[in-house]
Amino acid sequence: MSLDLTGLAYLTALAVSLGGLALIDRRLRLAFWHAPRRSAVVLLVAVVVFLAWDVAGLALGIFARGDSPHQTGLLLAPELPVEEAVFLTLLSYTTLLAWRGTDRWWRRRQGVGEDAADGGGAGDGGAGGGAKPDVGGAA
Amino acid sequence: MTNVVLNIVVVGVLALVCVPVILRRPRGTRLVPLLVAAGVMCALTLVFDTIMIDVGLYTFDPDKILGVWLWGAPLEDFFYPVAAVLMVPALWTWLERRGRRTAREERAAGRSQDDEPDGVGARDGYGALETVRAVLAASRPFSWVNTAYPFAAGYLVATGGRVDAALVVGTLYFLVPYNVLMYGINDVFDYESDLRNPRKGGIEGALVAPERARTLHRRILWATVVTNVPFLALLVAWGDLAANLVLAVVVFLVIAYSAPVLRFKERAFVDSFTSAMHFVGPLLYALVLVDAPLDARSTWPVLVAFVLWGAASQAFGAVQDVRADRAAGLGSVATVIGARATVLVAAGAYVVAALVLLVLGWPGALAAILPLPYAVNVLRFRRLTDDDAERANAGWRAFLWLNLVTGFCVTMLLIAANWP
Repeated sequence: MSLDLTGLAYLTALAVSLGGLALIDRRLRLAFWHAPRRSAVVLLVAVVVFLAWDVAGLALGIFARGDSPHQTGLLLAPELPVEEAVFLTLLSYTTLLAWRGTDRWWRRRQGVGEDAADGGGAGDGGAGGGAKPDVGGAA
Repeated sequence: MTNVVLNIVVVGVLALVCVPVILRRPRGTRLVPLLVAAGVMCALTLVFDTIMIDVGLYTFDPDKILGVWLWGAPLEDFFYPVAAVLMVPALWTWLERRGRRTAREERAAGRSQDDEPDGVGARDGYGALETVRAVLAASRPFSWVNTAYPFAAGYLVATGGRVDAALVVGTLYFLVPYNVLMYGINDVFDYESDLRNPRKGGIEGALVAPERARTLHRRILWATVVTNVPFLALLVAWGDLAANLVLAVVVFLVIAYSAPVLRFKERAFVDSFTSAMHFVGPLLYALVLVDAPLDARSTWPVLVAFVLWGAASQAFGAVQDVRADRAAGLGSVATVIGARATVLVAAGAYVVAALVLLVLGWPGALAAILPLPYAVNVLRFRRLTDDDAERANAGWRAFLWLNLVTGFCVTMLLIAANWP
């Protein structure tokens, strides 16, 4: 009795990578540990757009699923494996963390205050503009 | 369509949507983080796409890519990280500003210590949901079926019931984005005259509160571009030259109807024909897309009668607005020849449409009955004068419901005529 786990290789690699990103996120409080709902919406919308793009590419016959044994074979749609959705999540999450991290570092260097109203505790809230009067007003 | 064309279209649309949002970030913090993130993501793509392709996770049709490889990844793959770097920061920024705005509204009275770097997002006070709702309201959901149906029906009848991607994409396009284009820009450019017209509201069109109009109009125009471009790009990729020319003319007539300078809707008679083409256009496009012969005895009478029906309906619709249009300095068939004459011309056109439909063989000729209730409906107003032209609104409301009944009858006829 032998259990072949080759088909889970890609999915496992993606899961491990996502786990690593989550650790970075938690340590630096960049995305889900800063504004969880916002992070979830960002990733969800990005993945949906990417999937639509994939479907267009598949429909036009530009690319296709390979014959790699490393995938589960579960499909979201013809030629569209479940792994693709996880991969696109990884792509978007990596982008989010890379940009958020750089943005925070760069703002500190420039002395521009961080996203103050989030309440998230980067501790440099008033560095830039300070307490400006509310120009727009809620009227 | 090759991969690079698809990718340029996708990234182009994303850039159009995302760049304005990213530009709302504080000065001096826009470019560098974006560039660093883009560099990181492209480097990761270079390495991991090479691996993913090498182990056979996915494959490319060699005829559809440029053949430029960066290590083991085709150049086209690098559009994905670029798209991610546009989309993710833009979404984050947009949600962040919305969150901040909500927080401010909750605090209601003053005492805000918000660090609002440039205040652009806070000024407009329009949430995403409200925008979507307003754009949809502007697109007259009640009338969506009027443009989607001619396309879908024409396509299905001409192909003998072929259900494929072009049918689905085309029908979806003429169902929503086409109507956003048509009524959205109409509302934006008609705002001045609509303000003076109490009739605009409910199923006939939604009017926006004046103080919010400018913000909303900008968003309607954006929504128009964003919803139309992807569909049009796909349709153009599928169609041959003739189909694309028809599509171009149809879209042009929709824009020309209300766009500044062109303003076809203010030119008597051109207005009625253009409006008719808004509904005949989707049908004509479907027929040309599938190479159906337009001069067949089962086809041209339908097209001609449909144009007559559409022109008559538009002309009659303008009757109720005669005074409002004149006051606003707008032209229409009705302002030129008067309310009563317009009613009579419209009734005549309905009758001619019925006669033309008689040319269709059995059972199609039964359709000749369909324009007659419309003629009866408008003839109720044969004694209308310009001064009480607003009364014609009752006829217009009856017209909107008549369309649903007629659509049902047309469907039954189509099934009867095409059942094997």
